[in-house]
Amino acid sequence: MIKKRKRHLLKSILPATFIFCCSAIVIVTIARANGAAADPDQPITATTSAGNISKPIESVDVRFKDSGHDELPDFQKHVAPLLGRLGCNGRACHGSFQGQGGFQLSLFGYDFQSDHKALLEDGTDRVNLKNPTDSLILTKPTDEDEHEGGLRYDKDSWQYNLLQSWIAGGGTNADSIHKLDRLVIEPSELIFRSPSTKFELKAIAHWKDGTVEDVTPLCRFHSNNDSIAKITESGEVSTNSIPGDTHVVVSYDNAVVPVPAIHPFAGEPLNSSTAFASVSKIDVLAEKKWKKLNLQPSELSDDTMFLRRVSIDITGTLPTSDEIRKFVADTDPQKRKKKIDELLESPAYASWWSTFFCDMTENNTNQLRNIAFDNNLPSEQWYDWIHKRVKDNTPYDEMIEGIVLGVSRQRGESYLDFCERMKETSANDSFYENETMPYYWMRREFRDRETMAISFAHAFLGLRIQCAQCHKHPFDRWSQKDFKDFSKFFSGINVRQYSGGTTPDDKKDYVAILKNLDIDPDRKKNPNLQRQLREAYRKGETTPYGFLAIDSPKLTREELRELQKQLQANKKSKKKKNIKKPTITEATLLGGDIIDLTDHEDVRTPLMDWMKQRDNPFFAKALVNRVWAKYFGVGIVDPVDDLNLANPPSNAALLDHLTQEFIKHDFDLKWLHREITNSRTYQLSWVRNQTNERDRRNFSRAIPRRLPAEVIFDSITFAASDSETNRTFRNSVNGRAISIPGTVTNVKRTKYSTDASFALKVFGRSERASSCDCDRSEETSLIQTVYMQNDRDIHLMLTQKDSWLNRMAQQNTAKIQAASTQKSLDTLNERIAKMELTKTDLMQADNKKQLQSLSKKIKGLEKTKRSLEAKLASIQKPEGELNVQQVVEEAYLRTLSRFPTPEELDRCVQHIQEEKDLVKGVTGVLWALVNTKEFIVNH
Amino acid sequence: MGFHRQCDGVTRRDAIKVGVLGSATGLTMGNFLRMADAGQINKKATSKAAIFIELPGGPSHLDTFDLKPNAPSEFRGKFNPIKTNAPGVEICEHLPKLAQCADKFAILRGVSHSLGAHPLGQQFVFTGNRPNPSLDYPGYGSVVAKEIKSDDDLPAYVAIPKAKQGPGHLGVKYASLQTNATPKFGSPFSVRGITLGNGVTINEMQRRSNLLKDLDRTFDKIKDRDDLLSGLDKFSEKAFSMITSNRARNAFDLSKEAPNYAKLFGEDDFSQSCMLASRLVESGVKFVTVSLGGWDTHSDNFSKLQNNLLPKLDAGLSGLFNGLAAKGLLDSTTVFVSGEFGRTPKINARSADGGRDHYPRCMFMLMGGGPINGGQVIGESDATAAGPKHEGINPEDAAASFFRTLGINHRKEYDTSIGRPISIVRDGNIIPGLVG
Repeated sequence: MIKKRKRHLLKSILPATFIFCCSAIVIVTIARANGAAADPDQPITATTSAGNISKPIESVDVRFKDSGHDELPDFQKHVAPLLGRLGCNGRACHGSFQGQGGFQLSLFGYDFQSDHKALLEDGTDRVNLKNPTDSLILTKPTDEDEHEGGLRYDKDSWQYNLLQSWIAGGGTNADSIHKLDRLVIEPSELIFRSPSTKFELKAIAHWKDGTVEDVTPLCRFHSNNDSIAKITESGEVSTNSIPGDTHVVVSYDNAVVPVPAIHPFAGEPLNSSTAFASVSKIDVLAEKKWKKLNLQPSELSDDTMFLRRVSIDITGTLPTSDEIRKFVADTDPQKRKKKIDELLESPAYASWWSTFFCDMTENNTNQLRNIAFDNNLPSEQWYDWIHKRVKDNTPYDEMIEGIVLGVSRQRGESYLDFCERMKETSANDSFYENETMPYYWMRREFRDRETMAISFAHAFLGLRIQCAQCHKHPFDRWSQKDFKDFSKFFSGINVRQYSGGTTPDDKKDYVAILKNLDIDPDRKKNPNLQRQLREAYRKGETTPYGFLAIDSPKLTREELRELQKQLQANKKSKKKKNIKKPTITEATLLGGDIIDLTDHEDVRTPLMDWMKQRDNPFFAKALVNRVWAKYFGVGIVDPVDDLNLANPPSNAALLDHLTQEFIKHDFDLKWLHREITNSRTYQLSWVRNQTNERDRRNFSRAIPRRLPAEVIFDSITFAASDSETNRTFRNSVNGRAISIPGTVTNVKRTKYSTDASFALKVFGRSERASSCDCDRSEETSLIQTVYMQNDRDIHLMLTQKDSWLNRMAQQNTAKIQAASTQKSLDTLNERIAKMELTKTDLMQADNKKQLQSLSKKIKGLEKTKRSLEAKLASIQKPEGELNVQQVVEEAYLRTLSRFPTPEELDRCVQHIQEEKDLVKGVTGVLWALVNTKEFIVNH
Repeated sequence: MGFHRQCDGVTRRDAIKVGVLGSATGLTMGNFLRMADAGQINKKATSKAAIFIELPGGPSHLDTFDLKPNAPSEFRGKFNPIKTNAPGVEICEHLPKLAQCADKFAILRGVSHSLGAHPLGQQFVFTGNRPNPSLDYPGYGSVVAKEIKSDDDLPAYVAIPKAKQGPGHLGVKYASLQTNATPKFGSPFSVRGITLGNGVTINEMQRRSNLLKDLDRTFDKIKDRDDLLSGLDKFSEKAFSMITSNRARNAFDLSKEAPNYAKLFGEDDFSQSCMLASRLVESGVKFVTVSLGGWDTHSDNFSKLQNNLLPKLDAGLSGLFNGLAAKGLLDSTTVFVSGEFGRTPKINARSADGGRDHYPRCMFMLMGGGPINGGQVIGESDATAAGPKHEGINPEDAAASFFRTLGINHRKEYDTSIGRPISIVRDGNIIPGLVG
């Protein structure tokens, strides 16, 4: 029975007053004028007229301050959020999946039905409708009864009164869920002008039914960075001495509202005369944010710093020494722009960014077994397919469409024709010509639609929805229902392994293929089936291949079993309830429409259409943010794969601008690369000033970041290689670590003598394994440093046959050889000259006997002389002198991409002299340079 | 990743405060347990290091430590039980040396889970957490490397030759130093990267390192305020001291062991690896994983066990227990031995000698050293070793107990990069009677 609501006195609330002024300390007061009674005839629901919202209903802490009144609290609006606020449904308490003390609530509480059921469960006395005050939810949290969770509220508190009123009113729950229209937080931005500034947040809920209520005491509050903005349980925000910016997050019902909190850096406000020279809209928008924070950006990077950074970021490759010299000497004011264009056209760009997309879509070799008889083939074809599109600058949406709508078999293609076509494409490496690429869907881990939903949302939407598989997260918007309804898109996607399809025609073709190879297709009788097929594959015969099948959506076995149970229960109770047909006919887009799947032959089509829509809130944004993060080391939203409401962008205007422009430019990837790298913001120096040294999220300076694993390996190779290899490094990417297709990396690279797998593992190349951008690690570790200092890879690379040092050693040897030959020749010439003199004397004395023997000797010596001369001529003359200074300069250019300072030059020369051997000395210099921090970070 | 940390609205610690201050009855049992869990009441931590012997492939429990001599012949197998030096404890006749030191370890029987594929079973049993596609759990060694401080010139965690389970969400910082090779009897042993080689002398390395210090100054002004740069500096020093110090080299140099000590071990690779593990722990390494594979005996189960696997296990493991005891390290070193599952009780007839297939419902584990109460059997399997007789021990319980021996609270939570607070072991309770 529901008690009639008593007319309720609305105390008028003066809106909180916030005084902001630019220079002085802010005084913040929140005044609540008590006592002024409102019109008693005014309805309980606040009304909205002409956009002006009338005074909201006063908050529950005021309404239930005193006991003994008759307002009936609402379960969804008041009781459930109160239990959340009190921590009852927390993970360590009754929200635990095992419950606590036999009492289980939905984790973080958004399952009103089951929570209500749990509270009113028969025989538990959690809610005692007869004697409300005996209810355990009143006696336990007040510690009247022993409660492991201790005291949660006092007996005379508003919390007690509220729960008591609800129980006394019948402990009801509404039949349907109230829809929250929006949650408005005041103030909407918090700027701490002084460390003593404090704010008290106020949260006003606007329900779809027109009700407006102050729900501040029922909200959860949270700060994304406690050291910048601390927030109490009741929504009071303060700061300490650390400047910076973050968000505080308020959540109530299914609303999650981030509120920017800014504590400006000390010092003079940005002076307009020293204003930052914006070159693009990116700069304008970045600067807007800096001004709010009083951040002074760093200076523009110098040419060598810029060239190294942009070469690594766009091509994963260091610039060559010649290139650096030329670039520094170039006086063209457009040279940076031109360099960016040049880099984007290089083969290394296509390789490196294909790796980026393979990371994103998780091209994992081990997940693609049992598709072809070469386990590496699918991941190679996956890479090649993407590579072709990156190279051709295919629009991003088009490329992703080819993956999302990937098919193995063409419409109407028989299994036999498919297998023959596969054989052809792998024989002549032409897989990339296919319009689509199905392997994304063919990973072994894609066993159920939930896994697919999680992976899909992560890869293409930048969302982490896995929490919602089990519970609604308090600081994210997705409920379990959202998750479930979204995952239905993936209920018809299946992989048929190479053992043939499921239709009779497919089976017939499969048998025919095997018969043609003289292989007995009966698995039971032929234990060698697999080996024989592998052999046939190696010989280039037509063998079976696995393929992707898009079936009509189906229920899982568990769901069918559940349905069966329901049906049986119905039979018993003889009630005729409508049981839904055992198919899936609908799925819901994340935060979007319900899609009738029966309208679509391929259920993935509406999903892709939704992503391509210009107003899709995630698809383009997720990519733009990921690409941005590759250039700055931090995303505008960070972590980059967490575009949820509680993790807002550090600069929303900037992200929105870039996203909109990217869409306007028809998802042109090279446009995006150009736009970012040509901005002055990207080109800032890492050298800090007093205001921006702490800034890590507003791009006011470059942040040094460790090089990606592949780039480290390639850069060591580059530093060690001879100059000729160096010059072609960016254009011949075969054998480079940046062009390894899948996750099997222990392939002996052709040109370089070492195998990259150990280094790539140590430095954290993406494992492409867990739907998380953290699969790639840019952390540092001891073993990495041990590798750089002492691994045999390093020693090998420095000294291998083609290495720069080895060439130098050869040159050096030649030089020494030539010098010693010349010396012997000189001595010989002297001896011959002396003998000639003696000969003249002897001739004068007419001493024939001695003359004859001397002539013989001279002839012999002259023979030796001729052979020495021939030897000298055969020794390759070194190209120019080996100048130690120049060698050191070259070592700097090929590692740190800059010229040494005079002090550095002296120190290196000193080292070379100490070692007494040029090559040994230079080896030491090169070793030291690759071990500097400057080498291993991009800066 | 601040915001997920307190997604309960109330942190555990807050809950405790409320509980203690607000409770009229003061410290209730529930509060006490929670405080104990939160590490506020210190239990005596006895082990300072641990060795994990992983037996990938899944050893047959029925033919090793859980024999069923009275079961029908299609279950029983060919081997007979023998008595051990622990009263009432019997093990397989092909493990005679282990039988003589059974007082040093406890046998867990009727350990049970449900994941019958190698990778999944390993992920579960070698981390103590049921695998989850969206999260990679760290292996035991990585947790220990994070929780127990180690010296600069030694790796905290060594895997011989490598461990099945990586550092997972803890990150590569806590990865093992893999030897990538096993020590061979009578041959010198070294580890990739940590022993100076390739013709570079210590003096030359020192000169290079001096040069490096002088050249690596570009970031001097900012490095103290940058985690990456200051971390690189720290690692640079540690790497250099490890490469050039005798300590790390000595720790791996088995030729330094006295002949009498070496005699405790066999000459095969596994025994040598166990000897190396004991030497590493003695040197100050906190965690060592030794891997002995080959247990996937779908066919010819009995001959493979009798001729190869059991003699190796017997020699190496008994050597390890006796060796640690001889060095006075057994009381401060926990030894944990496990495969990923047991094998089917019913013998298959696919090969002449019979085989057994994957069987996670029933398996065994061994734990010894440190505060473990050795010389006993905990848990029991049913008549055919087809499942636990009573309530089974699950891998989480074993993991929780193992961490307890090292004084690590298994309920401790880490903030992961995916934003979810993850406890070291999600579920699991200390196995009664196992830890002293």
